[in-house]
Amino acid sequence: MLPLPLSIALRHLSRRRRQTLVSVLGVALGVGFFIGISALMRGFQTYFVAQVIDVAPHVTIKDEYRTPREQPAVLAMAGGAVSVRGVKPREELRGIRDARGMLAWLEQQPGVAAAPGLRGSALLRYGARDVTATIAGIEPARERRVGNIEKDIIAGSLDDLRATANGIIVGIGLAERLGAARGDTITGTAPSGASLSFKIVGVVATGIASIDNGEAYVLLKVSQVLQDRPNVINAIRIRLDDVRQAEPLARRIEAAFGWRTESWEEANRNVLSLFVIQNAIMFSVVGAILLVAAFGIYSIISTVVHEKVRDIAILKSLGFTEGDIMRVFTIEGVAVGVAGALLGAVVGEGIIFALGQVRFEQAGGLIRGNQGFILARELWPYLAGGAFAILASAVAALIPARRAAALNPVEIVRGAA
Amino acid sequence: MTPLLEARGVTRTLPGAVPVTLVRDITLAIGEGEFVAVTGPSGSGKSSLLYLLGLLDRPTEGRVLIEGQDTAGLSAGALARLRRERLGFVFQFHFLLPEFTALENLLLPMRRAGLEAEAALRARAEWLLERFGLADAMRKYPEQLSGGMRQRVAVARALANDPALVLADEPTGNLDSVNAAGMFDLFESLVSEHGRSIVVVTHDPHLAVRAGRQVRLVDGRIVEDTGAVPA
Repeated sequence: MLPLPLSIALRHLSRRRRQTLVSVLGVALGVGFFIGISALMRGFQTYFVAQVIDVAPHVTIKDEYRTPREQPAVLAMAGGAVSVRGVKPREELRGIRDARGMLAWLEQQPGVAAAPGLRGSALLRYGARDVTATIAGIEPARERRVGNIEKDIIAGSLDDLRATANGIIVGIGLAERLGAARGDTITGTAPSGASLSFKIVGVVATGIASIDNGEAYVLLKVSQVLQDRPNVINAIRIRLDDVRQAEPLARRIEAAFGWRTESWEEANRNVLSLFVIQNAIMFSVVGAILLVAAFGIYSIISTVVHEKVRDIAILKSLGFTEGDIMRVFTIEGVAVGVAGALLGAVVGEGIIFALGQVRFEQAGGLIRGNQGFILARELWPYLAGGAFAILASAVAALIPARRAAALNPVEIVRGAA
Repeated sequence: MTPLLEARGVTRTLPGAVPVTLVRDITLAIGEGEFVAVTGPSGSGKSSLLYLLGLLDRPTEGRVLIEGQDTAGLSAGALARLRRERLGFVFQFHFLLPEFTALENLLLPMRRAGLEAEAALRARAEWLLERFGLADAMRKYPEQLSGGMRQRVAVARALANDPALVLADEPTGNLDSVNAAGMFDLFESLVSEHGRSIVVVTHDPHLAVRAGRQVRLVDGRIVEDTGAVPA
């Protein structure tokens, strides 16, 4: 047996189906679009972040300081009126000092994998063509745990670097620009003047133009010879089991060792802040849709109250209290909200399905392997959209419900007679 | 003996730029088993008096007592409770709830009062409707019933919670003379067979004389009361 106000409310709604259906649909559309747009936006963002996290290391330690070191004269006369001009940086061997010690320390941390590297530029030459490229010296065994380069190698393998003397893996765009293919021998010349012959043992295609067109991989030792910087490591790249630990770990490393350490969040701050704005826009638009739906409920409950003033007077004369009347009309709003939230989940599901069917003719490039929208399947938009719809419905119904409860039955009876 | 319902010096004034006094200094006592007809010209305050007696409205001055209990200090909730347990209303227009069947219209106030179990309530509601010759109308909606049937359902609903007093405001206003006479037959039997008290507001003098006691109002004052106990 249903509680009395609930059974009255449900009877009101079920006996005026068309009106109920319209208001439920209003809410359902709001909730459905919220779910659909959330899936679209979040899908793109999640994909983008995954790509960023996937391709780039979670944390990178660089061979530089965040702020330039102070001049000795300034340090010696702290607080003094010293002004030093025209001082050139001291000739010093750049590179992370005690990189091996840091690597050992990092590898003891749980959930942390680290790989050293020496990156430098070189001019690659094949026949008459030459292209400037970034040569990354890596240790394949460690690199495997940090980067995803291996899965993007379309010819050869990472192990071939070790198996071949002076082996090199080049980006696919780089290979095309050079006109070279796997098995060809190219020449690399570093700014230091050193020059080496390399044999292409692999081609990599990441889908990121800057890597594909301008990067090549060699063994760390080979890179150190090419750059004439023996034993130097100028970047330590770190991959974490839990990407959310990247920023705290970066700050710890920088505090402990002093080297500039960037998390993937810091490196992609511009994109991430763009997402914040994008989310704000999304929630404003969808919030507006839900707000309109709430106004729909308000107007419908208001109309129902207006049409039901006589019934309200009857119920009061029958001994129903103001609380009973208010409950009846609030329940009607909430019932519309609940029905709208449920139907909205179905509508959202439909919108996601429809969006999933969209195919773009000419995609390629950044979003490899995806010719359509990337849609996030998450539970929270269903819950958030549903909760908002029910809450908005309750509030939208409460206002006319209060007015209904406060109606004076005598005035209504007089008016009707 | 304590009267069932008592009004002591009741005045009701509608506030406004020009205050309108609906009833003025009404003193009236209604005992058990009384059939009272309130008559008077239009605008004499008959209905207003009924709403005051029925606790739908509160007096500006004076007091209304139910079974000796002063209702002036009671909360809206307590008044609602008295209305549903001790009083029954019949209005000029049938005032049935259109979304509910005849039976459900009776069950609503019964369920709200919740004095008995659901099965007992249902049995009593069916019995009431049968008594009023509405056995076939139980599961019909008000729009499917004739005017006379609707009004009988309304009377049955007024009796749903077995009230001590039934207040009827022009219950025959929308009925033809046959149905109107039938309605008064019904009231008479309620009083004579069941000892209920009834207050009927009517402007039809032929019907009014069937009541045991006539109270006549003019301009919000009692000008005649055939049953007043001499002070």
